[in-house]
Amino acid sequence: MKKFIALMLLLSLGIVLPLSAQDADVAPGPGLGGMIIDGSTAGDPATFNPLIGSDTASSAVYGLLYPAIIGVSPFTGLEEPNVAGAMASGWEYDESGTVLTVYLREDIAWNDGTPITSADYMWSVEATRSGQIDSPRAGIFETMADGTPAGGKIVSIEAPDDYTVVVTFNEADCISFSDVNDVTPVPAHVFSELYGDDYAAMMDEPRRIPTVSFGPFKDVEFSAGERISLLADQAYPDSLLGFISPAESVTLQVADENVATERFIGGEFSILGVPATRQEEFRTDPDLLDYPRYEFTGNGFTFFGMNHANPENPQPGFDEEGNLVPQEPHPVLGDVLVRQAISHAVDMDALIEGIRDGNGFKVATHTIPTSWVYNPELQYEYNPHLAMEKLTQAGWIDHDDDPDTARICDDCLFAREVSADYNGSPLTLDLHVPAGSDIGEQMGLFFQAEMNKVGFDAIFEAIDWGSAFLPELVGQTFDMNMLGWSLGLPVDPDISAFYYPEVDVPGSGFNFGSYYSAELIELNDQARVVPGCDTETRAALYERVQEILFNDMPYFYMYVSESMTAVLPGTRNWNPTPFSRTYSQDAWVSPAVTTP
Amino acid sequence: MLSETFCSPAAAYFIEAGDATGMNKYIIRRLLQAIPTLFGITIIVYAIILLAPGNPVTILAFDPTIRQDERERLARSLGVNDPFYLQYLRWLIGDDWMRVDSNYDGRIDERDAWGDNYGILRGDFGASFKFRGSNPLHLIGERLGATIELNLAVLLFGLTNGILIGVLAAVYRGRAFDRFTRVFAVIGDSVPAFWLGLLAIVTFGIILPRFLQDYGIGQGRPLLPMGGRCPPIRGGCPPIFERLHFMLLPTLVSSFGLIAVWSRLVRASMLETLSSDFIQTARSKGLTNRQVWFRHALRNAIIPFAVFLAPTFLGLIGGSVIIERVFTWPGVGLLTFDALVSRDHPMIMASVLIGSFLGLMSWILSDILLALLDPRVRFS
Repeated sequence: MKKFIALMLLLSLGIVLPLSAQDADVAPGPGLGGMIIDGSTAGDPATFNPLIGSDTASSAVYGLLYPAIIGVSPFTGLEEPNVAGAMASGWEYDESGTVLTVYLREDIAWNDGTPITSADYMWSVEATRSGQIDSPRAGIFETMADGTPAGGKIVSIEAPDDYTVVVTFNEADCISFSDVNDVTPVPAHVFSELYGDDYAAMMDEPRRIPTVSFGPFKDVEFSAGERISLLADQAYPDSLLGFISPAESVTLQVADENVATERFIGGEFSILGVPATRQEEFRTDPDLLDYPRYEFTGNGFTFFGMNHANPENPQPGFDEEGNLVPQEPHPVLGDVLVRQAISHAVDMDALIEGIRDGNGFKVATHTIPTSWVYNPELQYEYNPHLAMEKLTQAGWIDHDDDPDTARICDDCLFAREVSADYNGSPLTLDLHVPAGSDIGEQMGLFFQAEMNKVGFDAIFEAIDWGSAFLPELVGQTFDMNMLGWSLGLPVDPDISAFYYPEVDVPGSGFNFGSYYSAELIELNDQARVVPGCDTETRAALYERVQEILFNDMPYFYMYVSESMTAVLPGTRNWNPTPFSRTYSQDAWVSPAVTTP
Repeated sequence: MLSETFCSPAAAYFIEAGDATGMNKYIIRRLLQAIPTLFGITIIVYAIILLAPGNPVTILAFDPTIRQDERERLARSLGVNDPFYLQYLRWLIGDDWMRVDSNYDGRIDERDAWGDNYGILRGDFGASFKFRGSNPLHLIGERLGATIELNLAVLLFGLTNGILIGVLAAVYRGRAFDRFTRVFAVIGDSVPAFWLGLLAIVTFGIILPRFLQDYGIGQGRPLLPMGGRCPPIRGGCPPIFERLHFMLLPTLVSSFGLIAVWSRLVRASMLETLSSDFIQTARSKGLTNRQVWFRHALRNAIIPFAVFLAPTFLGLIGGSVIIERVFTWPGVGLLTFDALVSRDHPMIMASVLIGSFLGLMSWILSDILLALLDPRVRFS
């Protein structure tokens, strides 16, 4: 109950901050609410076809043109029936938990008047499963259409009638529910006429402009490297006001967030995701105080990944026969005492206040404050003396009573378990962050300074993302690398994609630190098959999961960003939620943007 | 002497006193030489791309929600795990002569289909990794116009001003204008374009309008567009004369360095020319200063630079990535930069191939231009 109250408090904190009162339901009429112009740094969309797209820029466009089968509520971040823009009116599992029946709304149609039915979803399913298209989502199926194993959980999807879809899984699994949404329904009557069953033909025209859609906007006009424009679709039945207020929604490409901010202040954009470095300006600069803004806790976190295994000898989690491969420990980070010492050595409050202008919410596990498993009591204690004690206890001794020199190994874990020759080696680590972010580099330097105060010889470097950072991270040859995860929606506490030996694959897996805990896997597996996916039962299991992660420290969990979105003064009906800054965009009334 | 100084060594070998037949032979020979050069460039660049750390699949699918199987499937479908020679061969001559792992099961057998790429030698530039199969040539074509448009404006504005400043700095040698332009040249050559671009955006978009508004002028709105090539209206980009204001800031910022460099080069050449005997002769005939400077001295002084016109333009295009990025100018530079970052091999190779081809052609053209402009240079 306490956690529930804490969660509600956090959510209410997030919601409370829009500065100007939003005059709901006041709009001059269909298409009379002006033009929304947004800036995007995501680049050109690769495609407008949801069956072959996966990049952010593409999904931002086709997300406005096609329905989801199961909607995610903008208020809770969870799947719910009858969400605007989605097909499902309800669903149920059978007793075994392996058969999911989804009931579809009967009141929605494509904008050419054709009803949206299960046939639309089934066309997408068959195309994805055909193996003819490069769909990144084909992996949700157990096998492809020709029987080739695909590695997923969905055995079959069938449509007994126009408004029912039945999904059969190979085992009961709470997180597989979201897999159903990985396939986006498309207008089957249009796509089958265009492509028939030659699904591969879709790959030949990735930027074909959709002619029939379902969403608040339609009629894509695309100008490469510059602009995507969509017109209001007054046929959309799920609009908040009964009509679409803005006449047009335009996304302009912009090089980086600083340029975007200047262009927003100059009046060229209607809305801005304010970069962390500029948020204080919007709170205090008299010229910017009249910009309505909304602050909320983000749904991703930043961390230093720690390599638990020897970077000189990266090994997969499993061998070819499926047996667990014992990992040689990392010379320094292989010892949990050293990892915990680092958690006591770095003053995260000082980092958030000093470098991020207070922007950040401290976390210490793989979850975020808005999650239903968040435990606010799990926090790293800043205590350099305790850090030094733990290092000594771990066999890293201060041999010369000089805190400025690195401690050395005196019967440390690596010397005990791998090679006695390691005794006398200095306590040295490489700290890497991706180059190009001033804040990232300042945080790296801060970590270096804090760690060196307790006896590390931490060497910080900002390195290129594509050619250095990623290769050493996924190649498992790093010591400590900083990056962030965006958890997407709905946020589920499942951690199998990050800490299971199946994804400990040098070169491509996401358990790049080779972390392994049998108890953690057991608990997570139990939580995934809870009958009915009951949240309370799952939360109890994840409470222990969070404790294990807190103590074992596969990552040094750092913070969740406080996000801020601002709109031009005079914008009406802008009602952002913690899970969608553009919720209610079909009701917006935007002031005229500047077009010199 | 001039020919040895200002044309490539290969050209210097062929350029001697001669006639049109000599020029034709020279051009044909240079074009034939360009083929193995181009071929060599593609091998070297392809090798560099593959040897460089970083994997396209890691970058394209750095998303824990994409399953391990799916990432491996993607790698097989793109063929990025194949050996270098096979990847290069597929790019060069296609893969319609071999079976490919079309069912992505990790094996190549009778169940797999024949490849459907024809290779660059048959005009197939392949399919972009990042843009889900789009033809790289088509993607470049979408943006080439914007890059050429901007860089022609920069070339025109930069050279006109650079030459004018260079001439004036030479004729007013040692005086205030000369000293001022010397300082300007150092600044212009050393200020990063990215910083200058941001400064221009903030100045013309925010600071100046607000300053003017404080004095009752205007409504504090940007004086010039802060980015983009066209107004955000539907129906396509209007004709260039209706959107010249969009070009102003990027042209000014991009030509800053060009003006700096060319003004100093022209100044040096003008000083040398002004001390020539024929200039003394012109003066002794009673010609005005303006006639001497522009009609006689400048025409001779800029001949050597004519050969640099095409390479300068090409250099501008190559370097336009910064300006395109700051001002969100939808050109090829930005596209190529994104391709490099995302390890989009077919896209990178298409850019390299087209860039190399244009580069080689521009040098050949420059050598020909030099021979046509300078009566002392002839082809044999």
